[in-house]
Amino acid sequence: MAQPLSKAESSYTAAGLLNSQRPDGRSLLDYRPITLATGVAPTANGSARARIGDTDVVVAVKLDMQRMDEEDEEEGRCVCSVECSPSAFPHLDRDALSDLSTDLTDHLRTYLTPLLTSPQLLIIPHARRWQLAVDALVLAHSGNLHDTLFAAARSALWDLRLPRTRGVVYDAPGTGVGGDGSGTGSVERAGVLDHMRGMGRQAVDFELEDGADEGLPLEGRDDLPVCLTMNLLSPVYYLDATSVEEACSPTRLLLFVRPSGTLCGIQKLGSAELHPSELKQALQEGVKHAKEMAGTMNRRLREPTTRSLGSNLGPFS
Amino acid sequence: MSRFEPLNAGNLRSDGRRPLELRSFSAQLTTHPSADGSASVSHGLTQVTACVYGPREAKNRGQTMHDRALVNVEVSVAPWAGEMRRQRARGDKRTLEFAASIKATFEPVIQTTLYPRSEIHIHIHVLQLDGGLLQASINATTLALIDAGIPMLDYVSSLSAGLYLTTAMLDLTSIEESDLPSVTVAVLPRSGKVTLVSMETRLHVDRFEEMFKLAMEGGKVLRGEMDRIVRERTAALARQMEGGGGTKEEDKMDTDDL
Repeated sequence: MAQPLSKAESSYTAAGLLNSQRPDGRSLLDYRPITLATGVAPTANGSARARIGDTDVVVAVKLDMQRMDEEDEEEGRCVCSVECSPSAFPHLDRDALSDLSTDLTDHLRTYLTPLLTSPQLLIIPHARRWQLAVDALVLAHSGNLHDTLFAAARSALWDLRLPRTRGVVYDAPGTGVGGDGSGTGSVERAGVLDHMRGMGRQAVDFELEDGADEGLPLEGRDDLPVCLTMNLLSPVYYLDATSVEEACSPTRLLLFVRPSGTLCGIQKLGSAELHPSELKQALQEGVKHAKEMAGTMNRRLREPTTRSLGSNLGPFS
Repeated sequence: MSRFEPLNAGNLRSDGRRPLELRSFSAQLTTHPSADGSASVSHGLTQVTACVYGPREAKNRGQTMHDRALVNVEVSVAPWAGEMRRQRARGDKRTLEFAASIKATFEPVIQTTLYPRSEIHIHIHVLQLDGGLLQASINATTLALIDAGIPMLDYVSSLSAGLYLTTAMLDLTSIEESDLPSVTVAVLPRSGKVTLVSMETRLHVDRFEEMFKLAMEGGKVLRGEMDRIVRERTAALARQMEGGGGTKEEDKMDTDDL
């Protein structure tokens, strides 16, 4: 993924890491500064931009109304895509870039979107539901892309607002509802009854109660997992690797951990072998760090200032 | 739904602007950490980022020219940019055509003869789309090229103009763009030369001149704004190089103004 690294540089960096020395002076478990901004794309229903060091990812979530067939499962469905900008990976050619995009899309599809099956996404049973489209754009890359991507995706889902809907039923003229005789208004004569009076009937259509920016937040948004990449360079491990450091770790372990500490996914990258006992230790440590990170992220997202950061994160300099 | 009214009885447009009023324009330089030059520009809700790489050795040696630099433009549109989610493939015809028109706009303005056998690569990201894509991309590219320190003859500033009945209006949003005939003009404000005129709709020839002149005038105004932003940024950098105390605070104030 990273630029090809010379043997000398790689062994120099690895020797430093084994000695708990990193080129930028961090300790092995330190992260670079993390910046989160939500609401960066006004045309999307939820959006966020995350930056870890110089790695920069924008994620936007759009809602789309989807018609369901009778046999479709009830929960909403998700589509996702990750696009890697050539300006983030100037040394990669087109094919390599699209391979990388596909890889990252698979990660999102495997570890994040299956968790987004809230009954909230259902508008009318058996008929209509919201489809979530989670789209990511990698603008700049300097290592630790997975963590940044998931932090951005999670914050975008945090920012998402689902508009409230009201079901509309169709009532043939003359049949009335409950025979209360109240429905003499023009609305009823047209055959359209309010959801409240047509209770118990199957709604055929819906109206939006909310404007574009209003609505309810996604249920369970504070329980979505974060991604934590453990770079294993036996016997040490380090977090938040830069591109150079990534290139000299033989095994990388992606952990997807909920703030409660539950592990919902593990992915091993790299060709080196891993002993089960090493894995066990790495898991224990990793889950601890990820839990801490998720807790901090939730706290920061709850602060109202995150939203007002808006699209201007300030220049790099 | 009632019909869209581009200009109401009070001579106001759908978003409350006067016909010749521009949307709020803001720009930032050096928004990308690894590009040689980059800029992010927004016209109202349209937001575009341009990154410039080079002059550098060309990736594809076969394309290089012995007497001048090659200008490459690549455009990518975020799937969420427009009203509907839409994923565009890389070789999308419309995007390629768009990139070609930006390339044609800048080729005569960049002093390519100074960098023989090399390549200048421009990458444009469209993050938000609400009309005026071409103008925003051109303005962002100008600023990114300046940020990269690539010599040009002049700023290239671009603006779109539309026509409703007999009233010309500037800087169209996407609803207006879909309803009205529009033209996008890119000018070199100092010499008054035009490097791009793009019109994809039909328009009576008698009305064209008025729109064209207005767009040129507007371009000159935008040039003033871009020049101010570049000067502010350069002044901030110069202060940082001198290493005077309190630079941080002044720098912060500058970005707040943008």
